[in-house]
Amino acid sequence: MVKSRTVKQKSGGWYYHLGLTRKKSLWGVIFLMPWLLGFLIFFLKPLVESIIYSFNKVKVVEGGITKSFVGFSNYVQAFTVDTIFNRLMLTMLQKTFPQVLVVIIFSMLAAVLINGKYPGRSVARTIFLIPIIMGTDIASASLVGSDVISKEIATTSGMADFGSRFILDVLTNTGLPTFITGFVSAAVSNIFGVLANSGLPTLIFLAGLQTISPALYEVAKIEGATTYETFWKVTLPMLSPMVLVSTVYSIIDGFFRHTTTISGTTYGIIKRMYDVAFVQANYGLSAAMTTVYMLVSVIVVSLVSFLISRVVFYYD
Amino acid sequence: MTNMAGLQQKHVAVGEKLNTKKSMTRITRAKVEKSVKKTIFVVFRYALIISLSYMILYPLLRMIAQSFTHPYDIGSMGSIWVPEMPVFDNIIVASTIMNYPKGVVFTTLSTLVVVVLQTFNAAFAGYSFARLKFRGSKLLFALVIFTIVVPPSSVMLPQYVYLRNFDILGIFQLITGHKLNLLGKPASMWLLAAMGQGLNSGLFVYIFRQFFKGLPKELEEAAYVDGAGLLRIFLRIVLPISKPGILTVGVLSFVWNWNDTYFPRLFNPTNDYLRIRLSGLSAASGGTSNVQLAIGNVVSKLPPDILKLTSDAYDKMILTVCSLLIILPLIVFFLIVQKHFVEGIERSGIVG
Repeated sequence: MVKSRTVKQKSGGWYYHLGLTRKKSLWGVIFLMPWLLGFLIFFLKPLVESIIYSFNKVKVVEGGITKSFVGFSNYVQAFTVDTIFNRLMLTMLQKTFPQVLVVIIFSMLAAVLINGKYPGRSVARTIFLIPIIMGTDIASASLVGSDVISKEIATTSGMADFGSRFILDVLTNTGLPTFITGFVSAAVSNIFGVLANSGLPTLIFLAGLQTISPALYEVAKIEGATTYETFWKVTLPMLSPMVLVSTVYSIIDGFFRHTTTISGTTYGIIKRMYDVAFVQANYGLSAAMTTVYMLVSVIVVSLVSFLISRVVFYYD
Repeated sequence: MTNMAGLQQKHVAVGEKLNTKKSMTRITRAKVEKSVKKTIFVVFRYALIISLSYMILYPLLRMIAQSFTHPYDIGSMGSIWVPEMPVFDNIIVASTIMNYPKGVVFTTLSTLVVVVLQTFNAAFAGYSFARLKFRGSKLLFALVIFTIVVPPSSVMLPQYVYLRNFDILGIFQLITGHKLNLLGKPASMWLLAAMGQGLNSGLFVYIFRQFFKGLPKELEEAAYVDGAGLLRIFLRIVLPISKPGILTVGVLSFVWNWNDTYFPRLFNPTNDYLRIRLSGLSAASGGTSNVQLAIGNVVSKLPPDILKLTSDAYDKMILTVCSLLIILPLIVFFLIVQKHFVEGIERSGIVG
């Protein structure tokens, strides 16, 4: 940086003769340098190494690591011997998709609600953005605490699980297919998880709503569209790029924070990989798990973004 | 709604020709219908907002209520929302076992350093992608997206090994005779944040790129014509008008880093981080619970007449109080910045 500046002051230096496009490219590279170095040193190299580790038996020794090639045995072990990992992967896929769907619908509704103009809007905005600061773990921790209490109350007052069972009963009696009733009751019982995860998507949708030109709504009004029609024909198409962004974010976030409870103990998928590596010192197995997890994430996200991008509407 | 009103007006127009008196009543009826519809809409909207707000605030309100509940009242029907006998003992116990004052200062400072480094790195990278394009910058931006998609845990092992034996081209080994162990030092997390590989860094680069793309080009062009260099344009013109974008990224980065356990646990596992302390306390243990062990350790610092129990429900309650104490600074911080934050979101157009 300093060097190029001194060169610049000397008229006739090489920097002086560069065109604007060249100067921009040069500064573009300089501006990006910290990120690029970080990407190479702390992302790309570790990623390649991690994949190599997954095919090896790895030991951490003084001043580095030793590894011996074992083929696919770490992968075989991850899926067949380690009883928790495959269950975690399965429940992760099962639980994340319905949750993301509900999160997206909810946060879109929330964004539309806090975008309108009415008295008390700023209070509503503050409250609706609180999930951003709460953090999923904190919210669930507080619910575990109150869960103990509500269970005690339920057993003393004989109202065990009244709410969710009631909804399930009603839905079963309507004769809807089981997967729909299962989905709805799961969504209802997971409502706090949905709320805790809706912070950033709500923010993204709110920002998206702000970018929609008021002229579009004016035209719709002049043409005689109802509020309902305006939502489906103007708001939703204009928000569709944000659906893509927030769906991808929610899936990644959902995977990252996934936990499941097996016979009373709660396991987190990231915690599991961490424990296998740093508690059991089985680095190769952990690397195999992270590789599987990464492949699943990349495949799922590419698939979902491909599907969504087919229906996304870009205004410009 | 508009359609209906339009129809009504057509009727009115026809009616006017036939009978003026009849049309008068029609106008009032249409007006009444419209206002009723509007009232229903407003009531429905407020009902929806209030009920959703209740659900969002529910965990928070429960936490606050529990913090003041008398330990003997756990599970009592009389103390669900408003404790019958409010006490401060739970808060004293929780803040003592967390070493709260020290934890708050440490977590705030180390988070702030990470936030500043992360935000600046992302701003520079984002500006490069938005305005200073060069050959290959599109490919590199695709790689930014790739870093968002690939979970950080995929690279945790090699990163760990690398930071344990940190060296830049063998310089440290030459000078001190051995490689630098950056593990267990905040420097490891600062390094990652400064190099754009901290928590959600890829997302921040993306946000900044979208933000800078939305700024008017004319301002930068005018500055260039006036003889400012590209670095000066960025530092003196672009950054000062980018406060909304910086605020958005800064707030998100602060909140996420504050709540994060992944990076501290991996690189700097000290109990001074409030979240690490909490996850240590809530971890499953074979015999005596971690909360009881922690209370036992600090029993000399507690007032002798303080209320404490040894039940499972009591442990859960203390953990809840700890959670509340952890997010308390965040809530205060958020209430201070939230107005500017939401305005920033509106003006920044972070999604392009």
